[in-house]
Amino acid sequence: MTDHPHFFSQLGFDFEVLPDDRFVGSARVQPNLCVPGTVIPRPSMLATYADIAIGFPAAHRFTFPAPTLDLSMHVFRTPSIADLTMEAKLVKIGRRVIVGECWFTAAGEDDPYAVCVATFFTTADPMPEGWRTPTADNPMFSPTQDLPEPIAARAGIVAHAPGSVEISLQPHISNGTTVQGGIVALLVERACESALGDELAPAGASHVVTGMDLRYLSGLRVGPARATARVLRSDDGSSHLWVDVTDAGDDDRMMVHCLATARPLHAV
Amino acid sequence: MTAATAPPHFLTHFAISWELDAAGMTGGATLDPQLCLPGSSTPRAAALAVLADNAAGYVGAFALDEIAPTIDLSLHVFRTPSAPTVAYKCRPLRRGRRVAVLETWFTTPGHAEPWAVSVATFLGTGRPDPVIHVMPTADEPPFTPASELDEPLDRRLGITVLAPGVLGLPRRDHVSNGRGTVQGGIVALLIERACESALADARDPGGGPIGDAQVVTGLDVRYLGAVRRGPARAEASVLRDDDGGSHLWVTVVDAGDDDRLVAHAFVTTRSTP
Repeated sequence: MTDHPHFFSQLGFDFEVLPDDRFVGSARVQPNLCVPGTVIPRPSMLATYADIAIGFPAAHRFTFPAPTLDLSMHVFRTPSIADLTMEAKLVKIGRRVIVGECWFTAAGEDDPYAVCVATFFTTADPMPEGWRTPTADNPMFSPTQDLPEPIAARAGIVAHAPGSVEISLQPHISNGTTVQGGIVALLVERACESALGDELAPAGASHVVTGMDLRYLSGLRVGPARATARVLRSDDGSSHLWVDVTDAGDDDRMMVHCLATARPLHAV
Repeated sequence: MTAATAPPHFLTHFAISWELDAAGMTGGATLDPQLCLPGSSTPRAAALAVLADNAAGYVGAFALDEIAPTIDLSLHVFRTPSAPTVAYKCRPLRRGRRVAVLETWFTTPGHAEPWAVSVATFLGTGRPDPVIHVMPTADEPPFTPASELDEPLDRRLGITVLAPGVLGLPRRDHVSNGRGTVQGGIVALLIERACESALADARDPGGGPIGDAQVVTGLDVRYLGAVRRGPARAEASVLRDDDGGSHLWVTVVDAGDDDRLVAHAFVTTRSTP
């Protein structure tokens, strides 16, 4: 067990939940949250911002906990700078399901470079009495803590086999009950990088995950969580991978499925 | 419109067959050339979405035992199939009290390697299903009698270009999902055609055939509401377009219901050789 600060405090996050089901925010993204050697925030970290940006208004609307059911992250352009702004809104507000979208723009630019769409559904258990939507000055987010090593290392992700990586539940990557969804996305991203590195570029990383279509099926109960990526197709233009995440200590019970796409670093 | 002149339901053009097994559903279809990309035997992405929505919808509704509309459907075509004859297997990934998530893998009969996959989520409404009491078979409406298409499906359904990247679809019985709205795969077809139109215009403003340079290979569709009045109107915006392919964002509204948002989609295309 470690005494690392929760990774939320390293997101450099500033935001406001607006009364009309919108969320606006910005982030000073530390280099260790980016794809190594680039200013591209890891898609899994964008997924983390989006999970909060859509999830907070969703929970506020439901007044019930709102677990993430699925999350799609699409990076369609290379940002010029890691720092970013984001704007999220709820586009469907049902009795049981809320869908939101979150658009990311590089700081100082006008056109977005990534979008996330996520679905949340309500549970039967009401929020604890007195619960309020956290604000940016909540100790969960503020003050921003330095991240002195790559987020994958800090999260405790370790290689299991080519294309397969593992993580154990620790307080600094928890959402209170299981591994936070953005860290699960990071596990998926690392499994893809491992699979592509092993197959295409054994000497070093050359691909960036640009798309993730994540389905959260159940939480981690025993651990470790193990992500295994399988390359469905890979060519000069792009790669498609299928990733299973299981609870390896619980008879490989399925936790998450993901279809991921990646591009060569020079073609992002 | 009288019954004598009503067009056949669009599913009669798909020649679908399926069997249920312990794991889910195994199905197949021989797709009419009019369900393929123009001048090729490559099935349209939306045709695969129709099959996936149909298979996953039935398996999901039975898993939940109540009305369970599609809330999202993603489709990824990662290899070009060699024939318009497709086989597929659908199985649940998650069976909750209210939510079912299903995957459908597509192969060519006689070949083991898949070339496309769809994942879809269905949400139980808490209401018993008045339509599905027993699993329908392919030998009953709306799947039979089989009928041939003598024109592309989008034209048959009345999809029209309103402006570059903006297309309309009338709400009529032959595109229904049986519960008063447009079947999810047909919404996907409207989205696919809107993307082709937007890309054609971006590359050759005001001219050029639609859809001959780019193929939709990825659809991430969120169904946000029903098309209650119609027509449905899709509007595609190009987010990125380069030699290798493109990404687009598409919104679909019910134009007859104050432009209420009914779906949106992130779409990926690849350039054809």
